[in-house]
Formats: sequence, C-alpha cells, structure tokens
Amino acid sequence: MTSGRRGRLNKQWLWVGLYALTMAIIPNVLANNYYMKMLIVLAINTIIVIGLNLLMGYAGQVSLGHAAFYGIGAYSSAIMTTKYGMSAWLGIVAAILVGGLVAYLIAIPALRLKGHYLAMATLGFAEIVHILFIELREITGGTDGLYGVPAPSIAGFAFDTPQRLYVLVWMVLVICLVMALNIAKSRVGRALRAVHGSEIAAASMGVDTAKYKIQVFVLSGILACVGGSLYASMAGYVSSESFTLTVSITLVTMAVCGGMGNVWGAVIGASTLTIMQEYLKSYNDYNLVIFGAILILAMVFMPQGIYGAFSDLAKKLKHRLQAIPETAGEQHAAS
Amino acid sequence: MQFDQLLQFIISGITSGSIYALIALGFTLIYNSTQVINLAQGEFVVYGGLIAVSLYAGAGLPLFAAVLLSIIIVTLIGVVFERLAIRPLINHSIMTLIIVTVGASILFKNIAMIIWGRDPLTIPAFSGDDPIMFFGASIIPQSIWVFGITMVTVVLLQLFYKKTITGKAMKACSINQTAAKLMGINSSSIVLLSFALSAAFGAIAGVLIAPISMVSYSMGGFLGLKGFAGAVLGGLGNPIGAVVGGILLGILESLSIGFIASGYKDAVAFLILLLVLFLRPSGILGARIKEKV
Amino acid sequence: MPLLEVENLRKQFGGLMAVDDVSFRVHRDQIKALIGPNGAGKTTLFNALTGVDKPTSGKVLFDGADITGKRAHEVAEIGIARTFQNTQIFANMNVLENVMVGRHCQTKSGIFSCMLGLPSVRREDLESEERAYSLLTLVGLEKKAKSSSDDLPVGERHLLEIARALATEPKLILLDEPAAGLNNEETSRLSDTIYRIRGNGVTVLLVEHDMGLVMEISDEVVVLNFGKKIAEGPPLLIQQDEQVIQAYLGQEIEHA
Ligand SMILES: Nc1ncnc2c1ncn2[C@@H]1O[C@H](COP(=O)(O)OP(=O)(O)OP(=O)(O)O)[C@@H](O)[C@H]1O
Ligand SMILES: [Mg+2]
Repeated sequence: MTSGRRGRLNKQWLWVGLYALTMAIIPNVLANNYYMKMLIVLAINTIIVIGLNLLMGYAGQVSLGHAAFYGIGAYSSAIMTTKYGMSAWLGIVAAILVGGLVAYLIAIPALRLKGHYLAMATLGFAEIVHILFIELREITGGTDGLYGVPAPSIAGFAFDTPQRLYVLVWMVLVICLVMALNIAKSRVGRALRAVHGSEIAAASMGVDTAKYKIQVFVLSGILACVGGSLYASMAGYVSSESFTLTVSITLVTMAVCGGMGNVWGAVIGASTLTIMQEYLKSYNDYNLVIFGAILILAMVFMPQGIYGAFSDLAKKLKHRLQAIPETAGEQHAAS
Repeated sequence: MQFDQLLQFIISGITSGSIYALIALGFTLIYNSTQVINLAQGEFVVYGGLIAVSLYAGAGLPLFAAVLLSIIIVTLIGVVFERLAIRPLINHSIMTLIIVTVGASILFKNIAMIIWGRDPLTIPAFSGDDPIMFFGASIIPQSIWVFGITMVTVVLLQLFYKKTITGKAMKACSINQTAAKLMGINSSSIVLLSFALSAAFGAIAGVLIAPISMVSYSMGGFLGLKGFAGAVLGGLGNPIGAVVGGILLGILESLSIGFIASGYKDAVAFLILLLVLFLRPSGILGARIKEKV
Repeated sequence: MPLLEVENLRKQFGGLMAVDDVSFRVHRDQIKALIGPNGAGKTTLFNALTGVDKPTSGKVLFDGADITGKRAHEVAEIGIARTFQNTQIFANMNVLENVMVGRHCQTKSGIFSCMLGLPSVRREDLESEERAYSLLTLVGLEKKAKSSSDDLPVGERHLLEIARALATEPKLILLDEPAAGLNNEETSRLSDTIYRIRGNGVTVLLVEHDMGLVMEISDEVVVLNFGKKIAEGPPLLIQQDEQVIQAYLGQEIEHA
C-alpha cells in the first residue's frame, strides 16, 4: 500500500510539471502586452488564492480581509522603492516582513473567533487598512496613490516588460504551488484539516490548534503580500481602489468556486474567474450581470466547486469502468 | 462640544442606526434559519428605495401606495431568490451558499444600474421637511418616521415570535434545527419565510432612507456591510442584539464624525467593532455556545 | 506511584455541580471503569482531565506531576489520549489520515520543513503511515483505510477514534462509551481489543453503559451519581453495593 501512495505522489508532480509547462508556453502563443498583463494578474491571483485555500479550505478559517494583505504588500513595495530608494527586491522582502508581522498581530486575537465572527473581524480589519491607505496621505499618496514603482532586476536584467516580469511571476507561482502541495500532504496539512474537522479532537491529538491557525493565517497573508508586491511592479503604481472589500470577496469566491480543501482547486478557481472577468469586460454594462448569474449557476450546479465537480465525475466514470467491484475502499479513496 | 451639538450627532446616529438595525435584523433572520450570511441583504434596501421611486415618480402612484407596493415587490423578490438559488443548495456547505449570495448581490446591483442608471434618486419625505426643534437640536420629521417604523417593526417581530405558531416554530428552528425538525416543524417553509421577511425589512429600510439620503444602485454593499457589523456587534442570531448593535453602530459612527476627522469615521466604527469582538467574542448580547463532546 | 490521581475534582456549570469533589486513582496497567447513570458527570470528568474544559477546583496528577489546567494538546503530549462519546471524526480526511493525525505528538516536522518537503518529513510520514495502518489493523478497520471517514457507521467511528487515540502512543487512554453502536459480536471483539491495548502497556480508563462489558473486563470500577463518587472497588463488590443499585434503580424508575 505504501507503493500506491508513492504512485499517487509522483502523479501529482507530473501535474505540477504539466501545469508549469503550460503556463510557460501560453505567453509564447499570446505574445501581446494586453494578454501578458492578464496572465500576470492570473498568476498573482493564483498565488493569493492558494494561500487563501490553505487558510479556508484546509484549516477552515474564513477571511474576508485578504485584500488588506494584498494592499499591504503592494504599498510596502511601493513605499520602500519610491520613497526610500530601495531596490525592488528589498521592496518584496519588506512586503513580506511587514505583511507577515501585521498578519501575526491580527491573527492572535482574531483567530480566537469562530465562523462568521472571524469573517467580520477580518473584514473590519481590512476596511480599517483600506481607510488608512487613503488617509495616511504623506506615505501612501492618498487617493492619488503612488507612482513610479520600479521593476526588479537582476545582474543588469530588468523584469521591466510584461513578458519579462511574467518570467519572475511564473517562477514565484510554481514555487508557491509546490510549497502548498508539500504542506497539504504533510503532517502540518493534516493538522490544519484536523482543526477544520474538529478543533476539540485535533487538540486532544496534540495539535496546538491556536499555533497552527496563526501559522496558516500568517502564511496566507504573506502569499497575498507577495502577490501585492508583484502587482505593484507590474502596474508601476498602487492605489487604494485595488484593495477594496470587493477584492477580498472576489478572492474568496475564486477559492470557493475552484473547490476548497484542494490546492488544485485554488489554481482552477483563480484561473477560471480571472479569465472570465476579463472576457466579460467586453459586455460593458452587462458584464457584471452575467458574472453574477454565472456565479450563482456555478454554485447551484457545482456546489463543491469546479475541482469537486470534476473529481466526482471522474469517480463516477471509474465506478462505471470498474464493473467488478474490487476493494470497496479504493473507490472512496479519492475524496 | 456643546450639548445641542452632541444631541444633534446622537439624533442623526439614531436615524442611520435604525436603518442599520433593520438590515441587521434581516441578516439575523436568515442566519437563524440557514446559518448563512446573506451578502445580498443591502440590495433589498436599494430595491426598496428605487422601486418606490419608479412607482411614485414614474407610475404616479400616491406616496404611501408606492412605498407599500415597493415593499411587497421586494418581498416577492426575496421569495423568488430563495426558491431559485437557496433552496437547491440548502444541504450544501454554508460557504457555497454565501458565495451564491455574493453572486446575487452582484447580479442585483448591476441590474439596478441598467434599470435606474447611476444617479441617486429620491422620493419626498413622508410628512414634509420642516424640522422640529428639540433641546436646541433640529430633527427632520423623516428621522422620526425612520426610528418609529423601525421600533414598530421590532415590536411586531417580537409579537410574531411570541404569539403565533409560525413565529414560535421559527424561534425553535433558530435555537435547534435538528430538534425543531424532529418536532415536525417544516424548516423549509421557515427558510422561505425568513427570506421574505428579510427582504421586507430591507425594503422598509430603503423606503425610509430614500427621502433623507437618496438611493443609488451602488449603495447596497456598504449598507449591507454596516448591517452585518451591527448584527455581529449585538451578537449574531439575536434579533434584539441586532437592533441594539445596529443603533449603537449608527451612534458611534455619528459621534466619531463629531470628534475625529471625517475620513476616519468608518475606521472608528470598525475599530470599535474589532475591540468588541476581541473582548467579547460572541457580541454584546450573544450567547456563548459550546459544542458538547 | 499511581499513574493517574484525581483529587477533589469539581466542575461547575452555572448552578449545576456536574462533577462534585471526586477523587480516585488509576494504577498502571489497570483497566478501570467509570460508570454511572445518564448525566452523572462522566464525560464532564473526562473533559476536565484532558484539558477540554478547565476544572473548577481540585487537582489532577499524572505520573506524579500536576497537570491540572493544562491545555488539551499539552495533555495529549504528556501521554493521555481519549475518544469522544459524540464521535469527533475528521470528516474531511480518510480513515487512515484520521489516525495519522494521532501521530502528531510523535512527529516533529514544522511548517518550514513541510513546505520544503525535506527528506526527513517524508521519512516521518512513511513511519506515521505504517504505524497508523497497523493500529487500524488492531481495531479491525484496515480494509477501510482509504475510505471516507464520513461514511463510517457509529460503531466503527468509535473504533477509529480508539486507533487515532492510540496513535499518540499514550500511557493512559480514556474511552468514552466505545461500545455504543456495536452489536454483541462487535462488543466482544472490542473487549479483546481493550485487553490487547492493555497488553501493550497502555492503561485504560473506560466509561461504558454496557454493564456486561464493564464487569467482564475491568479490574476496578468507580461509580458516579449526580456528580459524586458513590462507590469504588472490584466489579463483584460494586454489583452488590446498595447505593449503586439504588442509583441505577432510581434511573429506571425515572425512565418508566
Ligand atoms: N457544557 C455544559 N454546560 C452546562 N451543563 C453541562 C455541560 N456539559 C454537561 N453538562 C451537564 O452536566 C451534567 C453531566 O453531564 P455529562 O455529559 O458529564 O454526563 P455523563 O455522565 O457523561 O452522561 P451520559 O451517560 O449521558 O453520557 C449533565 O446534567 C449535563 O446536562
Ligand atoms: Mg457522557
């Protein structure tokens, strides 16, 4: 049975390779700036939603405030580079440090709350952060935002066009994906899912529930900061409008629509919704009407998210094909 | 700050707080029957206001007829929403249902934009605009309508809970759904009723606030957020808590305009909300529930 | 030195003394039963012992050390594991993974080494998996290792909880009504399992309503009624104890 497990793991890395390859090929097919920017946004959203899925899908802790970390990442980068003349790399490091610290400080009291109370607390936190982005004019530029955020460069090679920046974003994305998959199948991943399943039982198995909740919250906050930092580099400017409650909710929607409790669900959700939003823009006023309707229909017909719907389908097909019922256990296994 | 100024801020706080309270009540009703946070709650307010505008200014109905009809129409919208989008998913995860309400709020909001446009619209105040003086503070009559109707709604809801069979069943469902089901209470009609009532409460808030602050298609999100905050502040699931929380939030917000730079007004409201949550993790009037193992 | 000493333990819920001044000891390699009518305070006592709830007053000594008021995960690390009367299965994991969570105490990889997928993490994981599998074999669930845990019937949920608790490699295991939902045959298999657990050097404290099972396997019995300890001793004496008979008779009259 151990060999069976190994087999499944190898298959997982095959998927990672395939995904990384696809994401590397697409820009060569769609070589224009408009698509490149969309692809970068898609990759950034994927990075953030991967973190959000670890937090919500695995550990069961809801956040309606991740736009705050997205924003903190973007602003930290922008402030460090434009006001203090740091390099873009240091900007990213600063974003991670600041975001991680803020996430830690808010996690300590917030994660004692459960369910909708936690949702409200994270939402309230994000609203406060958003207001600070606007009101702390001296450092954030107020409603004008900050301009002239430089792109990172390495040994004279600047990631300053969308094509070049995409290379960097792609690398970060693949690294985040691999790390998340590693966590998901590990001792820590099981501890997180245990917290979701039953906090009391998790604690009685020796899982320090408070510690893991804080860790995963900080991790997801940091991923959102990294996303924000990359976003600032791409856009060249930051403004508070990019980090509203709507953005927080959109990120959660991506996580849920893709399928919670599976890292690939995050990848699928972020990709599908980003592309859909971009595509629907051509419908002008009807854009969001269609988006809202699709969202409702998607949930009605795929309540487990896209990943869940497809793995159900795959399971059913397998069921049909295996006319001879082997071990009853194997068929349930994929869940 | 002088007393009359303070009073003025409190009065305007109570007015907006009453609106938050009605929205918070809507959240509470749906939460109690389904555990779902209906993120489309604010859209009911918008539709209440905008449909009343169309009926009054567009169709030429008398003001009170327009207002009443608008509330009825929005109630029906709530019913249809529950039937089409919530009912099929009622046994799925709460998160799935919440995302459905996100979809609905996007849908409602943008349909409203297409129908009514982007400009804010209004209806006349129910009984004129001549302010009444009260200890040096001036009160517009519509504020009294807002507070009065909110209180009447709350009292009626309590009577409904206490005196009618359906109301008692609804209360039982909110305390223990499984037990209620065992006692033969039809929880699916309770869910439907809760959506109808929530929509109605939202619409009432919408027609009440329209004469004061006008209504535009985009204000549902922000109003819903304040209502949600009020509901949580009071203790989610407790109708009285929702009303207390909503009004408290309104007053705090209004006072913070008086004392602090207005840009920070919302920040103060949320800061207080966070403090309350951190100090009392289940809201001011919320019960501490513990899972039995 | 006894393995577990409970001294004057009290737990109050509002006006209700759910556990009222209870003292007893559990010695190494014993199978000790804790019985009492419904609502006697057995589960509450378990919760107070394992850090799920804080006791109102009193003391809990484990291996001579004071563990009163320690948090649940610390208690697990010290060597007390438990199962739950209202089973607390991790429905989002399969049966094997449920047991692997029990290995949490015995493993160390932190979030960083897991993230990087270090070889040490993989080694630990394989070890955990093998140990979990052998514990599933012990309780007879090995065939369902890869099944969804949410689909298990009540009886098997209790068995899964036993395997999961054992995965923490405890010195003492607390079982809260493990025979609930088992038929006669399964119950007798459970009693074998409990003997085997004790045979592996794990002390057992058992709450159970199935008197046949209690009298058969336990070395000593503690009886609670309305939160108070009313008797303690070997099964044969307990069966004849006036107060115990009264307590259980009283309950039957109430039920009738
Ligand atoms: N969290 C709580 N809050 C208030 N009262 C409680 C709580 N937990 C238990 N009780 C009460 O404490 C008493 C003891 O309950 P407990 O569950 O410990 O009994 P028990 O002996 O395990 O009963 P059973 O055999 O039915 O499992 C009961 O009266 C119960 O209602
Ligand atoms: Mg019990």
